Amino acid sequence: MTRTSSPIRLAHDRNAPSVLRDMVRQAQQSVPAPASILALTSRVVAATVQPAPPCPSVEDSPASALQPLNQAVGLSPKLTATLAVVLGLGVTGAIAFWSSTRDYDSPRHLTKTATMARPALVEQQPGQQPRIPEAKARSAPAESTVKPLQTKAAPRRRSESELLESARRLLKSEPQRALLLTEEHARLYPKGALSQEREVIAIEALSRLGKREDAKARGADFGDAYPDSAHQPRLYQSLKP
Amino acid sequence: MPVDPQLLAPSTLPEVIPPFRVVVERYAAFLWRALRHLGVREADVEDVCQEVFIVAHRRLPEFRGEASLRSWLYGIALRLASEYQRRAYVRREIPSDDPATSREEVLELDGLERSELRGLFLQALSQLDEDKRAVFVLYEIEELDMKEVSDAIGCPLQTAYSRLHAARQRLAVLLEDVEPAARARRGA
Repeated sequence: MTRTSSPIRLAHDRNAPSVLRDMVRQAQQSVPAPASILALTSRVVAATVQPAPPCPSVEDSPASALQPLNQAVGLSPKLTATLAVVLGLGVTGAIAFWSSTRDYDSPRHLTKTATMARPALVEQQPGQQPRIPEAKARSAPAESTVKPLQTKAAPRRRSESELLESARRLLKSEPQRALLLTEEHARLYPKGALSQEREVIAIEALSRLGKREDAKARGADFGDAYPDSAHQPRLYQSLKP
Repeated sequence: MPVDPQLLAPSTLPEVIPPFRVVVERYAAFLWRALRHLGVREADVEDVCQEVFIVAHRRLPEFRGEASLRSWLYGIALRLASEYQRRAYVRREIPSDDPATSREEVLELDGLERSELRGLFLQALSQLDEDKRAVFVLYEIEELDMKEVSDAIGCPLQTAYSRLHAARQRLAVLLEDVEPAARARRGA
């Protein structure tokens, strides 16, 4: 005998034992807490997604930066040192130009950029090219890079999970700050791996701040963007009148 | 608002694999839930779920699209849940899950009764044979269609139907004492 249709699922079967039906429905609604998914996603992404190549360290001496060249073509140490002095004058400019043309989504890279670039560049979204005229970009090193490069203690960019974990902790006590943190996350990680979690926290923060209409509108956008999200039931709860 | 299972159903079109982190975002909560009902304890579920994705990432080049991506992922979850059950320390230890203090958020939890029911349900599931429990969890809780269930498990479709039938019967027997008690409580 070959079956042509699947049996009615217990959750929708009026003839099923009511306790079993309730248990199955309850099981379907049991979703892990967003913080748990957040932590899991961060761990998996960290373990599987290839990191961006590190940018050249500005702390490295020019001579050590030339070491591979030295080894490759067999330059003498003296010649290497001379080249290092000559090239050392231009190296910061080269790095600044290089930094203006590469992907900005690497946390390490952004930290370096923040120390090198003018304030306007620091405000740029990751993933976007700096919008400065090429001529200025090329001349930027002389006017903007030398002094900041001497400052080694640049503030570390907070990771996605750190930002959102802080936001989650503040949700009940300080929803306004939680909302600001989600905005910070959106600015730093517009295409981050934890975008869904950010939106869930932001919507709940809006709801707690009494901005029900904003929360509903953003919830609707979330539904459109992530129709199959496991966070939908939680959002539904937080948007309930 | 329950998630429409059809949104996750396989398409007739060839499946396009999204970037891996999107895969993680999309399926993490579902796999987590499945692992819980497949007998992975709350304290261990995050680690096992991570393992699922690590294995999936390693094997992604082997994914041929013969099954849907989600049934492929559930298949990995089944195998790792099975390995988990066989680990000596899991068999040796007394289950210590307390649904009432679990990190899971059981939505619309309206009192002790629901918490108790959840505990009883997890306990009953743990008493099913592994192959029957797998079909039950994937079909009834995760709402995969039967073809996906048989793909994930790697058994013929008819076998999956038989196992579902057997699982339902066994659960009904295991929970037959709970039904009158629940009715009495509702009536009280």
